[in-house]
Amino acid sequence: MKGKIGKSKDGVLSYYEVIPPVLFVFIFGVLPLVSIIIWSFFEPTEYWIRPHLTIAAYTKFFTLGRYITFLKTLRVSVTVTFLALIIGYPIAYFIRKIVREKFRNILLFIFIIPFFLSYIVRVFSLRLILGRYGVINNILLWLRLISTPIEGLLFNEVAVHIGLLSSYLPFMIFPIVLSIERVGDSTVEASQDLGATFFQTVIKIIIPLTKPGIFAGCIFVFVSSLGSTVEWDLLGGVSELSTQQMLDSLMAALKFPSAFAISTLILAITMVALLLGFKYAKIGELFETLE
Amino acid sequence: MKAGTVLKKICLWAFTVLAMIFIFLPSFYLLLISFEPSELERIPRNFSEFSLKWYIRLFQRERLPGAIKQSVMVGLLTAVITSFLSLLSGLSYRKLRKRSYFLGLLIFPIFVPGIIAALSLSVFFRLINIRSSMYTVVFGHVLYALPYAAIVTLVSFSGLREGVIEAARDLGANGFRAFTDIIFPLTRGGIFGGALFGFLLSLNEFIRAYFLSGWQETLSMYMFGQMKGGADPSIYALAGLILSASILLVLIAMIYFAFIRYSSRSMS
Repeated sequence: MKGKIGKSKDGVLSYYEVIPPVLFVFIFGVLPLVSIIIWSFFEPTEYWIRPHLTIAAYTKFFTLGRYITFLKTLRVSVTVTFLALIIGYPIAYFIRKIVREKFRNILLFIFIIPFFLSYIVRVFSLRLILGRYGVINNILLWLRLISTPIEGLLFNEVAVHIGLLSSYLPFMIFPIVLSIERVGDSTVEASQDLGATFFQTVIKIIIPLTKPGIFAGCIFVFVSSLGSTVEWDLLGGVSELSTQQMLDSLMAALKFPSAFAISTLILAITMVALLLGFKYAKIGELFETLE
Repeated sequence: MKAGTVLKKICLWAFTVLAMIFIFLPSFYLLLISFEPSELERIPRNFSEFSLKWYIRLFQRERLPGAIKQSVMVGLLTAVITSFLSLLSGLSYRKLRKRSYFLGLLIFPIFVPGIIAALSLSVFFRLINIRSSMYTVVFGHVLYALPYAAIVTLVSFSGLREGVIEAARDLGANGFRAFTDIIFPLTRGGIFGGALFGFLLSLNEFIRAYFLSGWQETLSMYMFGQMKGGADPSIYALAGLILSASILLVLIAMIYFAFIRYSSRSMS
């Protein structure tokens, strides 16, 4: 994985400079994950855990009904990913293939901005749109479509979906733009010269060729949705416990193996998605521009 | 142009603009509401009603200065460490044989759900007996920002031609001179870009700070607590303040990058 250690040909620095970033990510990004996977099979003590192998944490996951919450979070993440794909794909196609180059960079920049803004603030601001005195209610009242404000727009699962979608839509757009970039204009023209309609070209040519971007975008949105807490906390209802909140309360109650077991399951799902993406959708191709 | 093509174009424009409204309108609306002097959740009725009342009220918040100081410190440390590690990644990347493994490891943290990264790192620190403090948050934030910062830095390094460095070496520059005189000036955009990513991502990050912080909360944690607790409208002012600060930083960075591009173009 590392190159040959030694003096490099230009001698600016030797190969040793690869060591700090590799060690950093390995120690703080990989080792802790391996640890919690192992510890999920340990036995809980009063304040911590002891090395005595057991699958109690996993059986509790099923017997105590935690899997119901888990499945709900999975379902919401899958739905949000699907919605983001449907909305994000046309936008990515538009930005990369239809807009003139001058506008293209501006549009790309606009979709990068949310990335630099506080996601807590962005999620919180949705309350002002969906709330009792929010924008949507005001518009509906003004149009006289309703006579009293609707309360049901906020603090439920629909609001959580909207929050997640608004947070992670840009994550879907960028990988797809990158992969559409790799589809040559001549490919599209050839297909149309041969008599294919626009929709045939999209379905038979462009979508298969942009599979890496589609997969990468879906994995980004799915993983981010699985790992986010703020949307559930600020937009979800009181009765709607999410897996993330369950993890937080298990940790607070010092039930470590149970929290680790749930984390392990989330990690396992993420890693399977990632492996499938690399193996069948060739996500790696997206990063070839760096080579 | 065929009528169908024009229609397609108009539809896609409308769709994209709608998506932008969906993403940006809430934040913009919040910014406007923060200037409303009454406690009502509305935009000031006319221009003379715009008031900084809630922004001034922020100064009376006792826990706020500590949280801001903590966030700025964590953000600066994260920016320095992240950009340093990205620089090292950029320097080594062009010399490595199995680059894809290195790149894979660097961007791996993107694919770990935030709460899992936070939770696992917090128990890991507990195991090796490191107490939660500002520095544990910094480690969590560097791990979060490094993939993005490294990609930005690698992109700027990909424009660096080996020949330029070799020429400098042939002219007798040692490794340090080659770095300060050739590599750094050509890649500084990516390096500062990495630092900016580090600072802004850290400033706005919540869940890792929540799991890794000691007794001193960060700005995001403070804000989150206020939002959950249902505070007075000064929370809009605080949110507006952090939005404006982030946008200002991005704009400054944009001007800086435009300047770099302009000066490197006039150089060649």
